[in-house]
Amino acid sequence: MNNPHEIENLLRQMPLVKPSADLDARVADVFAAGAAGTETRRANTPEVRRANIWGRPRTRQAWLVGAVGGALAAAAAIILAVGLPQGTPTSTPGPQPASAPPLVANGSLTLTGAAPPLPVEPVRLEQNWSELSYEGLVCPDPETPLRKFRRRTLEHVQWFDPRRNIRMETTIPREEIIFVKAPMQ
Amino acid sequence: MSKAEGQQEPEGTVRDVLEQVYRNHRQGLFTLALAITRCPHRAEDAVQEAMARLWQSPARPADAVPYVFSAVRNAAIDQTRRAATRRRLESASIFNGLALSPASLAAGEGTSGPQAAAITAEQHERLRRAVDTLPQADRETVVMRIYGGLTFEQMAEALGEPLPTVASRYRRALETLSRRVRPAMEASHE
Repeated sequence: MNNPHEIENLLRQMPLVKPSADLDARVADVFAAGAAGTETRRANTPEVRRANIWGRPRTRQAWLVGAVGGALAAAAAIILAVGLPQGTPTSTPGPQPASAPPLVANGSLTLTGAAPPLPVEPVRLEQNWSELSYEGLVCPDPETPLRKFRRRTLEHVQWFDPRRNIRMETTIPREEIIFVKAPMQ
Repeated sequence: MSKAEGQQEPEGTVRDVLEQVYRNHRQGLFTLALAITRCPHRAEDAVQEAMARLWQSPARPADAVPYVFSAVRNAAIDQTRRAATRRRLESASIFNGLALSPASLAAGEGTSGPQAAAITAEQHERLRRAVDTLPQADRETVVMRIYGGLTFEQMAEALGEPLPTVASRYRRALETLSRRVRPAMEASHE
């Protein structure tokens, strides 16, 4: 086994871990964004995008769906609370106004109202988690036992500019240890 | 040696050159980043980050291949440093587990029989461990040469080191690998 070609050949036969198809899309994004003279969509924030603390699974898409869903639900609730006229029954359809044009006229669809415009302003979503756990008594000094608590907080901020299609995420984990003096019996 | 070895990328726009280098060396670039970061996600981040940096860089080298490899290497080292500060270092291999599945091994698929298949699997496993435990600098030279298809001149340029240093490091890495895989290799020759 003194022939280096033998080990080179063996190395070439080894099955390599393949890059995901997502990598191609990400690199294409870099080229496209560069060509458009704008910042790359994700290259500048790979670290924060991949932030995954305390062993949580990478559920970016699921989180995004949840966040967007939550935002839509909140928007719908605000519209229902503010936009609907007081006393208007919503469960039974009222008579159509005489002046309203038919939805379908002469076999073609007629739009009766403009669709709500897509958001063009940057959107900022912020979520915070906190967890407090008790970790028992500690006795640095025999006369003053202390209760040890660990508080973990996670601040997750997502910023999205729909006009330029730029998305940014930051995750800031914090951990504090709190000692509380325990009462002596 | 891969077909990409020794090829210089043709003249063209920055985008053309980068795209062509990426297309021809996609696996090699990713494997180099993975050999450094030991994490597939960080390796992909490193490749993307390197492409973004190159895109914004005004430098236009004559041979883009070592230039791109060097950028990916630097981005991967940056990724590793960031991971180290967060104490999230990982240890993924550049190899994809066994070359043959247990079922294939039992059937002796791709070889002359189950015994030969088992020896091949043993060889691959030893080699995987040997590559994974090589010093990082040695592993980089092996990856650049074998999976990136770079010439020694290109490797020296990408690593910023003299050619004889790179060549001797590569030779030393192969010797180390040979020593560690030898028992399985000898068994396969018997």
